[in-house]
Amino acid sequence: MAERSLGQYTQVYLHSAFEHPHTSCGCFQAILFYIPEVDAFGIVHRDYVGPTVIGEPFSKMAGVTSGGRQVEGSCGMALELIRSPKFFQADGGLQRVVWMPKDIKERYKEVIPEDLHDKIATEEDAKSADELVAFLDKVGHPWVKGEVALP
Amino acid sequence: MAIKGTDVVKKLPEAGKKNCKECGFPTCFAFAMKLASGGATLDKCPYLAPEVKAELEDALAPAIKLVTIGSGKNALPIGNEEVVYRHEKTFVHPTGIAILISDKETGSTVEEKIRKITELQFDRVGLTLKADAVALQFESGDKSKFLALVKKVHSSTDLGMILISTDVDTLFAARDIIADRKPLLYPITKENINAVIPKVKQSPTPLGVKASSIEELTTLTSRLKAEKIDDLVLDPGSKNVMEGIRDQTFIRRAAVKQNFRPLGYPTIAFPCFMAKDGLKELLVASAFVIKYASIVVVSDFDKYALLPLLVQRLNIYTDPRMPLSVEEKFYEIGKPDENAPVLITSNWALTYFIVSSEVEGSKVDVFLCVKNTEGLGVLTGWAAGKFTGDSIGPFIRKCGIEQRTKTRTLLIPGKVARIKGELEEAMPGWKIVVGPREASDIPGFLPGFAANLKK
Repeated sequence: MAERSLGQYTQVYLHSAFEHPHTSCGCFQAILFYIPEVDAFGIVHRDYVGPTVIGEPFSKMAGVTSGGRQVEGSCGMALELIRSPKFFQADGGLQRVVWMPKDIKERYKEVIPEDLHDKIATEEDAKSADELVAFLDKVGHPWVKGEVALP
Repeated sequence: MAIKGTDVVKKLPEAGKKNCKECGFPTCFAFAMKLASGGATLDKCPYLAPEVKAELEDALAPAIKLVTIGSGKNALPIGNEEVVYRHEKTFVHPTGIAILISDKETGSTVEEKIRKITELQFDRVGLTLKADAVALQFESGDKSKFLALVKKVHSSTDLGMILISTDVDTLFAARDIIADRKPLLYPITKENINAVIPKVKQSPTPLGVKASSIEELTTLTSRLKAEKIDDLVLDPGSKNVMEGIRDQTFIRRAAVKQNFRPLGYPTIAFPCFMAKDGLKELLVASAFVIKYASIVVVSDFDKYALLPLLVQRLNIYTDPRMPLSVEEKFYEIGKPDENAPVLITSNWALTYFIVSSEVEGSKVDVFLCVKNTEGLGVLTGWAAGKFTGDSIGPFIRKCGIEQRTKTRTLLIPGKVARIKGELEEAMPGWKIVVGPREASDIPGFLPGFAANLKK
């Protein structure tokens, strides 16, 4: 790894967004981003215009995520990764996702467990971290309730 | 070198397992991640041991300290840089450009320089470009003359000020007159540092530290840091451009790559003392804008010399990750009435300014609608799905143009002629007309088009 990354990195965690997350160049379709206020993740894709729940639009986040760097809590990804059983497995996977654009939530409806689907917020439910906390408490998101065990 | 959230969490109470939530975050881990990304401060955690707090503060502090010269809306923040090369991320605070005024200069020269620095401003791509500060040099040996100059400049501009005097008493007498302006005092050297420390402790002021070498500089800054004085700006005493670039580069690398704290401050460079000829001086200044100086002091400029320097600074300091863009709304060019043409284009700054200047050149009053394409040009915006019938339709309805115009005719860029059909579907009642492919063809097209609309 050190050889391939010209000595920049010696380790990578393929299924976690923390410590040694995977790197991406900048051509990713979506970004998985960490939301400290709820200790969970959001997903935003390239076609989503306007600010996400953490106040930054895709374009701004892409600047931080890209460039072949390991950026904790910020990972470029293909949307199809959502289908994978290994989707950020080490961090809790889909159960730890609390926000995504409505468009994506509809597109991946059949992959997201039925009881979880309604508990993930979209831009219509929460426009800021405060609104997100309130929404997740109201619907009882399993991650916020502490029902999700990490592997 | 930014510290990682997962490294911060290990230092938090009970190795980040306390999770008391008193900081307002659900877990220590979440708090650590927020700390690392710069969104929270350490005082939120009530359980940190003082030595751990100091250690974390040091680790979380930016590699180059933020120092602010001046006050109010013309305050000049410098430092806080994170990279050696702009393409690694972005440069943060543009180099401040200061004009030098000596108390040996005649009254009319002084007036002229004040006039230049306050009046020479340029509007470009929606930004105002201007010089930032005045450097006042004590040369005459007559203290009262210098203080009079300081007072005069203070009352005639609200810009940041740099006071230059080797005589400590004069320097601080001048400082006391304009303390509200937070001036930068220069030079602080190994000879006067002992006299300066108590005066600065009494009332804090940013200091320009000068040494004859980088080694000497580190001993001076370490000394000041021990006295808890750290609003510092560095001058490594470079005598010419070559030494200057070498020293500036060394300081930036040491601060950013090695996190070497004694050099983790913004820098100042003096093209005014390195070159005599006006053009050469500006060339030296431009070299320092690229190579890391946070302030450059030049002896004089006119608009033909200043504009290139300002534009160069804009080019270097614009965030390369974000295309320059203008606000999404409809703009009025001239005094358009209800029969005026309605045009649409994307919100990349360059697109907007080229189109608007061609429209102005064609002397036709129009409404120019600017659709948010996140800073992409027309064709790229279309390819990215941000300049299409589905997105333009709702924008036109929302932006309020429908109340201002009766023509119900929208002129679209020729490059996206293919969206005509989908726009007609998305905007019932509107007629869509395909305009020229290039902005340069607007003056030939627009007058005839406008005349037809009026019929």
